[in-house]
Amino acid sequence: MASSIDADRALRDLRDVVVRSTIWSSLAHADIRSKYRLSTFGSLWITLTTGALALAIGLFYGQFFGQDIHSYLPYFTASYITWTFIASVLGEASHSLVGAGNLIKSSQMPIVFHILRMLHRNLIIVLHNAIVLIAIWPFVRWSLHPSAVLSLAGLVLLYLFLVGTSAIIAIICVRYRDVPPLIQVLIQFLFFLTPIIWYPEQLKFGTEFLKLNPMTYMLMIVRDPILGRPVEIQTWIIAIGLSAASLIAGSLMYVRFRRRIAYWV
Amino acid sequence: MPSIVLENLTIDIPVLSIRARSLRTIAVAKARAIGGRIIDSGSHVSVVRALDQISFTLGRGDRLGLIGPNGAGKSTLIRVLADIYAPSAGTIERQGTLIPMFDIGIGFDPEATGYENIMLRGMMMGLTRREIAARTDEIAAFSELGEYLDLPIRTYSAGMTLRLMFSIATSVAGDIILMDEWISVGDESFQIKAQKRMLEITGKAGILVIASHDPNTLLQHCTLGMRLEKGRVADFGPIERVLNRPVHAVAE
Repeated sequence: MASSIDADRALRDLRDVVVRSTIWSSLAHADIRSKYRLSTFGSLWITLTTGALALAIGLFYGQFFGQDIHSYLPYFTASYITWTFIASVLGEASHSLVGAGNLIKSSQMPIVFHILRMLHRNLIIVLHNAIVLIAIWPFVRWSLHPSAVLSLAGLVLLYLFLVGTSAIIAIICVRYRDVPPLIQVLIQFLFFLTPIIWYPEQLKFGTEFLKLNPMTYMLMIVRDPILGRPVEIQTWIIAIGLSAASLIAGSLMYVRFRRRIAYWV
Repeated sequence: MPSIVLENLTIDIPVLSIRARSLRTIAVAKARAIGGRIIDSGSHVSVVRALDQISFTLGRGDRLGLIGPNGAGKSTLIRVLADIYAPSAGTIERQGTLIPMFDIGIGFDPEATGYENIMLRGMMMGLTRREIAARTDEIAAFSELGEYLDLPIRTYSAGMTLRLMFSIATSVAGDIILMDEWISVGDESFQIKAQKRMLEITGKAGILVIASHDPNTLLQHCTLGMRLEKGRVADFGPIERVLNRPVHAVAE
């Protein structure tokens, strides 16, 4: 068994993720350009779609939670944008390698690039969606603190967390083809258990359970700073831990199974 | 100095049945095992031995033609040499830079322009934007597509698309060419030009490995021949001999 050669190859791929990052990021940009090429607003459609939904839900749903629209609209918008990022990445991760099957079997491109291409495509979408938040600020004017920039740090952490998680999901899904629907169920499940449309402080019981949901932390570190909501240091520590753990697990899994992927797709 | 050394290389391709692809099957199989009695292991992973104990050495100037019936393992061997399939057993050592010339059309976006596709395909070949930009002019000139390169390739004829694919694939420098069937492209004048370029590359390239069913192509371009049958090397030697030796004689 030439296992050390295989491990070397996988590690070289992982190094290329950093060294040749322009390749997967450019491919992601090309995907976005390709998708919106023939439409008038181009990729602004992403922004418009999110804007319409955020407005519809944000304007009306606040009353169910006894919240003023001035606080609920930005809360929901920021939540929704962040959650869409998480949900689309996890959902698309299950198809990322299966969908790239032809390329995997015909090119030398590191297999992990297909996962990062998908992830980066979704990051571009998130940045488009962030415009919605900026656009509603003049109307709602929630108080912006300098600490709002911590949301960017949160986004970086979330990105890293999703790199690892997507790699794990993508590799499992390329081997077991009945897992993608399971992932969809899980995403649905998490949507209702994560404080996205409701506030965590409104929870009367089940707060312990909320603490077990990793998505809560990953969502809060991106959403809360920009809204001026305090983020406990403990939340940051857990988020950093989750990101590190997911990156390590994802890398180990990639090193272990890289050689099998071409056979499975 | 390019070289390829294969030693007892074996490739087992798992054929995962619908059941083996299912996590549920595995879970059920495990659950049954816990019950103390294995009714059906349920994992249904059968394995096809696509290549069986292949050994050979190629060095500078060697041009190997792979022949054999469909399913003999020719394309699999090409993909092993291209570093896509990792050996199940045995070893492969390769020195030199690859020019893969199979599946050269994968990754193109029909809605994108010719120029954008040069970029796209270039990146899939592992080149950075700068590296691609440096050779775009040359690719454009060779393809002779002129201002068509500013149009989406969905508007191209099949021949034009192939011209672009060929021009991109042959734009990289390397010394090991891998081909699954000889590529013939475009109209008569372009075919001559393409042929000339292929000869140029194969001429200066250290090693060419091509899988083909066409004896004339193989005689014209190869020095060595290898007949594969059911994943085993049935014959290996000078191309004329391998081609002329009757298939049934090999078995004896």
